[in-house]
Amino acid sequence: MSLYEFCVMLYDSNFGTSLRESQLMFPIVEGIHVLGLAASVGAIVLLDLRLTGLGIRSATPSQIMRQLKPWYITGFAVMFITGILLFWAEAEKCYRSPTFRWKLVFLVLAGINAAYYEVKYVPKMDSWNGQAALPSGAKLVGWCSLIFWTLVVGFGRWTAYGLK
Amino acid sequence: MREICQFLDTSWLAEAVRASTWAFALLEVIHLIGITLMLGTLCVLDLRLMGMGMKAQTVSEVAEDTHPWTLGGLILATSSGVILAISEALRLYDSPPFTLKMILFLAAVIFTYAFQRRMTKSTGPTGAAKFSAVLSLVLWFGVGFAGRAIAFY
Repeated sequence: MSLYEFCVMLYDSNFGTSLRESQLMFPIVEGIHVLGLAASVGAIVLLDLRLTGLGIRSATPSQIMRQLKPWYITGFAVMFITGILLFWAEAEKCYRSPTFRWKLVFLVLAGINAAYYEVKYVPKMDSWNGQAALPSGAKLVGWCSLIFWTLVVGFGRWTAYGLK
Repeated sequence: MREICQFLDTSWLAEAVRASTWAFALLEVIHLIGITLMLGTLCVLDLRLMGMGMKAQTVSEVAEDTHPWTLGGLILATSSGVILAISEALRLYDSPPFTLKMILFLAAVIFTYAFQRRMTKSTGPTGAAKFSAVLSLVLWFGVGFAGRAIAFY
């Protein structure tokens, strides 16, 4: 089965069809996806702003990460589950959407960037407390995260606008 | 009111947005990026007011650090939103979710700036601070849901 056939199968499935055609459920799931995304990406941005030195100076990166991590995970889980449901309902259209592909590319890049930070910098974060300057690599991770997430949100919104 | 919408709907700005292939989608993208910046930073402040996050910082520290970004997001979302609304003013005149969104938006802005910012001066998670955080979340998420509903109904 090709990827396209798989998408058609999802699209034509009972679940996919009924979600897509539901007057109430589809807007609700999409609303949760968009607003869950806005809330959790916005909270991730807080750490990025601190890493890049643009703001949030009263907290250290490790304080922000430790205190907001449960919310990052909750928010990401909400986005991911509702995102899967939306893809299920619109799989065939998503397959043909160039903006959806870009969204996935930047989502993967954001994931790799976060994993890199987790491995390379999270174990060292506590030693930064009280230090003025952060390692330039950590700063770069912050900038990459800001750019990738902005593009994920942007291409995501464009996908919803352009699906046909 | 209908005449104002008629006027806006036929203005050069509305014509320009409708004539362009990308303008509307691009404005929607900017609108959502503004919302993301605003809602995310506001949620963190509300979590702090509820005593559910960022407790190593004081309420006023979190409020001061997040406020420029919340305001920046609000300005980005509002300015793109005004142009979006002008470009389809007549359709929105008849849209119940848009009316609801505007009512909730006004209530949310007034609540945030006239009442909630006072809570950020207090020290601990008082009952009033917690209540203000819950109300803030309800109002702003209400604005968001009503906004998303405009496209569907």
